[in-house]
Amino acid sequence: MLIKFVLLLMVFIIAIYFMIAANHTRTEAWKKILFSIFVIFMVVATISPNITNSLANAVGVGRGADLLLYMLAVAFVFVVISIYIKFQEYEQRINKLARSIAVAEAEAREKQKITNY
Amino acid sequence: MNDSVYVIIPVYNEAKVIRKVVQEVLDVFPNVVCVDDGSVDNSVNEISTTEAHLVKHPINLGQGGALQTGLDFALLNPKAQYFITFDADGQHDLEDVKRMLTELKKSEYDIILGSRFLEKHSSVKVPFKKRVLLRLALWFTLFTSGLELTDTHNGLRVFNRKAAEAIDITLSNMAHASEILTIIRQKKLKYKELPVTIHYSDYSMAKGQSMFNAINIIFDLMVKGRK
Repeated sequence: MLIKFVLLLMVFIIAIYFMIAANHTRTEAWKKILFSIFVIFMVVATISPNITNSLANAVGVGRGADLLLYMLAVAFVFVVISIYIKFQEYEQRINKLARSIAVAEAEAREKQKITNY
Repeated sequence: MNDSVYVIIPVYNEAKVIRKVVQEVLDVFPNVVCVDDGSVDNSVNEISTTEAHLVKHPINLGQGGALQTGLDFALLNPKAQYFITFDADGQHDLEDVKRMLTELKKSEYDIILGSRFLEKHSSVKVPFKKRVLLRLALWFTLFTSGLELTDTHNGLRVFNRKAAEAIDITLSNMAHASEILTIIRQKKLKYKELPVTIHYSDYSMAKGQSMFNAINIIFDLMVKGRK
């Protein structure tokens, strides 16, 4: 079963990548925990896909693949919103930075004018 | 006597008209702050030929961002007591500004807002499409900020130092007009509207707001409301 090998390899790479990135940035603890659970789930679901099937049946969904799709849809929206908010925060920072540059430069120019008189 | 008055003019690609507008304002008020919001035309050079203070944004921050920069700059001078926001396209009337300033000085109001709809006295009629758009903005303002106003998106405002220090515009696009109103309510500033005349020229109409932007504004304010 080549697909299992490929999927596990990808999960492994993603996990390593996250560890490195999380070390650099100050990722919040809950995000780390959430991600660890996610990785474990991915590994389990790859090794024995039947587990997702029984999980799906338990919540009233026909197939495990369908359940994954629904969860993916929700996760996607969540990610988009959090990126959007993050993006706005960065815009605010850039605004403040640009504003202080503009004011500082204007002040310097006015001082120059005065000394030229 | 107008030494303590600062007129803030956000400028974005207004090279055709800006010098004339600034000169006219300078005849009445000696302190004019032009905030260039990253214009790609000749606006900066046109402003440089006047006696106005020039503050240049290194990148485009939107009109609200430009107003905030102008305020920050003007507030650096402790003598600055009165602040005026004025549009660069020459649609405002200096006689209105003088009236608003006199009213502010003799009253206990913190901020005087210009309104196109307060009285039927305005000599130039507001175009129909514009009127519909502005009417929608009123309902929206009443709904979100609880302020009863007749004209929420008028660029002409006169206010004192207390109001100037309270204003902190974070939205970069035209939503800043609603944001200022929200600040008025939150900081409990005393406000009043006075009728003003807007000179709609072909130039200012071409630069005006489109219907689509109204949707942008509503969306932005809703996202901001979550804070």
